[in-house]
Amino acid sequence: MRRFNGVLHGQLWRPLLVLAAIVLLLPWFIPTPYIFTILILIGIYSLITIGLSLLLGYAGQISLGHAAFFGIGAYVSGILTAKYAISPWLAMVIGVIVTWVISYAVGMAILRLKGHFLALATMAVNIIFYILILGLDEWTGGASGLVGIPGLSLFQLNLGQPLYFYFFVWSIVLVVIVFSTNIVRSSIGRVLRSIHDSEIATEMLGVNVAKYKVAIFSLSAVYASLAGSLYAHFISFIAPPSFYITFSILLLVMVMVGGVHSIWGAVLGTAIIMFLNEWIRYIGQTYFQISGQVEIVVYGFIIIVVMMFMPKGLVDVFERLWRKIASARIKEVEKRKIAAERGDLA
Amino acid sequence: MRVIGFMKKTVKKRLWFTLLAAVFLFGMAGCGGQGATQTSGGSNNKEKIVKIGVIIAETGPASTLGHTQVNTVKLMQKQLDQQGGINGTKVQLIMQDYETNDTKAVIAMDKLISQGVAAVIGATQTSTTMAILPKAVQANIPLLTIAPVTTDKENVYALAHSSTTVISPIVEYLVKHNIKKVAWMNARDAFGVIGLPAFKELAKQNGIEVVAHEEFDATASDMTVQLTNIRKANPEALIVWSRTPGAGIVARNFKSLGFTIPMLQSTAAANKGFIEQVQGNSDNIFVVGSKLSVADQLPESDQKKRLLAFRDLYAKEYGEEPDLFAAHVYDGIQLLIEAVKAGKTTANDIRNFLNNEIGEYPAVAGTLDLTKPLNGPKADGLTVLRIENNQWKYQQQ
Repeated sequence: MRRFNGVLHGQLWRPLLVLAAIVLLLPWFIPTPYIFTILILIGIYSLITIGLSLLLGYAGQISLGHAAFFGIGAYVSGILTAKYAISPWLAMVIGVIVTWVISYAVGMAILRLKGHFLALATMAVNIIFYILILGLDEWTGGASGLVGIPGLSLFQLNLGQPLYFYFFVWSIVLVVIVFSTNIVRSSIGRVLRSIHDSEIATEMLGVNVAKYKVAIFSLSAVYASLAGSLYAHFISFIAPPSFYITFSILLLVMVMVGGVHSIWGAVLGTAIIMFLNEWIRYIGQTYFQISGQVEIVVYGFIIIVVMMFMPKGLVDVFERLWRKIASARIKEVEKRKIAAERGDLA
Repeated sequence: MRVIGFMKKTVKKRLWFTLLAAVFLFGMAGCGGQGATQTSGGSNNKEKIVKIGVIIAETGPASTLGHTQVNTVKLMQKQLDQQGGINGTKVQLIMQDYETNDTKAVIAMDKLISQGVAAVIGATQTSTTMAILPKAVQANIPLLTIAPVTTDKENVYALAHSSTTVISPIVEYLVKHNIKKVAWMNARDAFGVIGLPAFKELAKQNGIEVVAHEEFDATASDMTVQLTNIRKANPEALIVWSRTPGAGIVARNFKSLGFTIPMLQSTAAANKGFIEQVQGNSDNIFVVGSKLSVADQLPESDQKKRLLAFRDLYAKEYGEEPDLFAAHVYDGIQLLIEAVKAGKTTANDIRNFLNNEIGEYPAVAGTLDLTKPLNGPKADGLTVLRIENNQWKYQQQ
């Protein structure tokens, strides 16, 4: 029990319970597979943005190349299952291991860089990966894409069913959230935050900064790889354009909008951007008769607004609101106490 | 004190603003959900409505192909609305722009299935078609494809020419001119890479040898390196498999390097954009295109009437000529209108109708044999075109 308390430290169980409740209740209100697809994609993308939040928000290292790690997971899963008929679960684990090795090697080299240079280097990783999957067409199917990726099934349960897959993906998200918040709270998390604030000062304290940076980079890559495997099995077809830099940038936008400094912000940002996309399209088509990539303009506007007025992201707004309610309640209690004491005196 | 008060005020203001923004965002998210469910329940009106989904790249890199397709859908919807219903049934075309993004196409497909479409036409690109295909098969909805695909699934009807069909006029041309050594160049994208395997097979049967093969990036802006490599192999003709603008850039580099051998291009180059790119440098360039581009130069026939009917209709509305990609969408919509005319309004009925009742159908792109729905249209809609005075020129076979 004490250990359990340790894992669900502090008040973590509260937001976790809220999210779990939302996940459990949503299917009752959603009759269409269309919204399910979006919810599943939100879950899958959340895995990547949680990793990015650890990397960007806690360790302060930027990555414009996470679409590549997403792609490595997707392609390893896809190729092993579609071409060699290996069990999808085993393929997923192999994908994670491959991604870990690659990201560790890449991270050792590029995480020496800082700021813009790091951003450019991670971008280069993404471009190299893109060219590789285009060129290695014997395995990846090249530009025509990889077809025939089987669906997942778990203990006779066909996860090809959107409802089951939805619960499956979101339970993974919940586990990843618990895992990540615990990392943040551990001594590793504290080191990461101190790297974020001052790398030199952290080094002065005798901490091997490089080790921590590479480790967290690999962890976020592994999350992305896991998401990639799920994506491949869900869509059952993958092609190179899904893993280009534009997707890496979209992921960053999600994290920024939600709030870089919070794991919850990543999930919130992902959900908002995904729904926003559909909503803008719907409004644009029905009321203004415009179609096309209007959302890009709106994204830009939102990023400006968020950066100007809510630099800590949307999640910060909710947190402040919650604190306000809580402090109001405390004040109320105190007032009553005082009133009661006065009553006693009288 | 005052300063503190002021600060408090601004903080408060800010908090309100952010709150408003948050509420606004969530409202929007809610709207998105509602919008989808609303439309899905709206089919119980007194007038019967048949919904047909169309998934097209209206924006993004593939919009060069999607542009005329979008126009065609709008044109056909306008025409359908003017006619009123067909036997009391209204045909509604629901168009989805997938922004040249496969994931968005899959979402669009789910959206269409949620809205209860009876059939889906799409998508603009080959790879995207492969992405939405499993969904269509799973939902048991007929999928009319408008990009070349290779699949063995039932329920799929190919309206675009297979690579082999497109290549057959080229091989005929080569045989006629006694060309035995050719060089091959293609873009490294889904359209570019499917040509060569089909060509190699046909070439082998006719004793034609591929002496050089070069690839270029679909977004590249200079191909002289590849062309220089090709020159070394000394081919008697060059075949290029690429969409525009790549196709046009190759043609321009080809001229500036002083090649004198004929260059043959694919159906993806048979559009206005290509002519504009090669302006004035069009000798020795041949393009496999639809007879649609030269409909007025064709000898009198039913096919000519059919092609002219579509071309004139389109040209009258948009002041430009339709291309083969538009023709595929047009054929798809026409086929489904035929089904509705025969009183078939559900996915199952339409499938049975397409499988069993149509047989041979004279489409704009070429004759379709729906007893073999995956073969695509025959080569009778295609021809090798020349460019003369910035116009397509039909060559008597």
